[in-house]
Amino acid sequence: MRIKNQGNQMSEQIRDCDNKTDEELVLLTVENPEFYFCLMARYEDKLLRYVGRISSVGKETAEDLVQEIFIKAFENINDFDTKLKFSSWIYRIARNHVVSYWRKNKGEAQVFSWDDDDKFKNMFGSGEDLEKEIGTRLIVEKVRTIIGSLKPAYQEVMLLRYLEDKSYEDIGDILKKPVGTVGTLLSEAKKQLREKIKKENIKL
Amino acid sequence: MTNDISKKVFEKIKNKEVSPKPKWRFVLAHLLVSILLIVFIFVGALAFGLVAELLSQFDALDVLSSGSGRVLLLSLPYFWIILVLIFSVLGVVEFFKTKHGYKYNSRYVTVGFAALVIILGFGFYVIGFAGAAENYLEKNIPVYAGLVKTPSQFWSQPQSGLISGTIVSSGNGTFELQDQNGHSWTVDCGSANWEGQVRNEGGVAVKIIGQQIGNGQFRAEEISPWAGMEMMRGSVGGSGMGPEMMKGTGMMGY
Repeated sequence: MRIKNQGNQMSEQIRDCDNKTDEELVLLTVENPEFYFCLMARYEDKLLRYVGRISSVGKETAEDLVQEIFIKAFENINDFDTKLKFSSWIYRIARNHVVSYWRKNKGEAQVFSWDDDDKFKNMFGSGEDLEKEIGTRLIVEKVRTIIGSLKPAYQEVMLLRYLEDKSYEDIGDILKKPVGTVGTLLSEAKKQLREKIKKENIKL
Repeated sequence: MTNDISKKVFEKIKNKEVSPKPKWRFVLAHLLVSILLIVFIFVGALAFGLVAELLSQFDALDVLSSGSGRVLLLSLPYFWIILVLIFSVLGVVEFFKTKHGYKYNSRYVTVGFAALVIILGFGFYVIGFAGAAENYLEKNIPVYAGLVKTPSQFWSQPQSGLISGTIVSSGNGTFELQDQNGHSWTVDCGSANWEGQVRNEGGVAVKIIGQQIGNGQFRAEEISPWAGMEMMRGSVGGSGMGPEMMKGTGMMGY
């Protein structure tokens, strides 16, 4: 990733971060905080999307939250566990930050957002003609409602697995749960989803 | 990709509005968790060792084999049992606070901890560490005596069917007993089981399970030698040593 528009603010050595792994960049950040920009640039969009999905907040609030998440991660960079993936670590920080935000500001259960999510829609494929397109939209709407009625713990693992493409191990590291528990949660979530879809007589 | 958020945060970092917390703070925090974990395991195991120690002092296994569940319930050192449970739970909770604790299944961790506390605690009992700790607590912590019954206190509960003392004189189906508080008892032993090598003759120290049937009268169901117990450990003499004599050995001074 070539970082542009930073002019002379950044030294030459950190302009090109493409050939460095996240974990290498963390180590470099400890020595030279400027390298943190590379990590932020890599995760800015991903975290914005993730925060939006797990919080149902507006764009501005999501941006504020991501900013706070980056600051929190930077403050705790010396606690980064090299046995973890950086992505799992920063997703964990993001998730915990959103949960505390939710507790402070809403005082109620966290709401997941499956709305207007292209990736979610793409899971059902796109229609070739108008009739098919409308049918697909209706199905998407119904399935979204059903998923939204699942327990938050089920929604959370499904979201990480199917929308964020995380492995079981990564999900375990993000949620701080054993891999076996992640597997159980996912299989329970899928089972409930199947049952509800069957009950609603939806043909996918 | 405009990276607006990254730029804002980067500006704050450059202006030193935010900086990483020093590594030693995290190292210290993780070290504290590990130390607490070790302390909880140690105290839990020691409490279990003390449970084993007190049960052996009360001859609880003999009582159990005699089928007297009531006596066993009375003899359980609840104070230490509660501490075993509290510290085992604290240990499990602390384990999950360690860096990689979350990776393990809580059921296996709980079973593992229980096994660790039991094995370590039994080890403390076998090597005598639990006994030494119990002695120390008795001698140095006055409150302790109020929390945990000593063997002599335990076997001085006639209302619960437990007495002990020295046989003063014996007769046909009865004997006179002087308990540890100097009270005299006429004990009906006609239908009692005599455990071990204990005999109905003067000077023999015994402990009795039975029932108080009147003022100074007791019906014995089971009579065992006082001296066969772990409470004699470390004292001189042995079988036949009465509670009165034991006072001088430090074993009765709980």
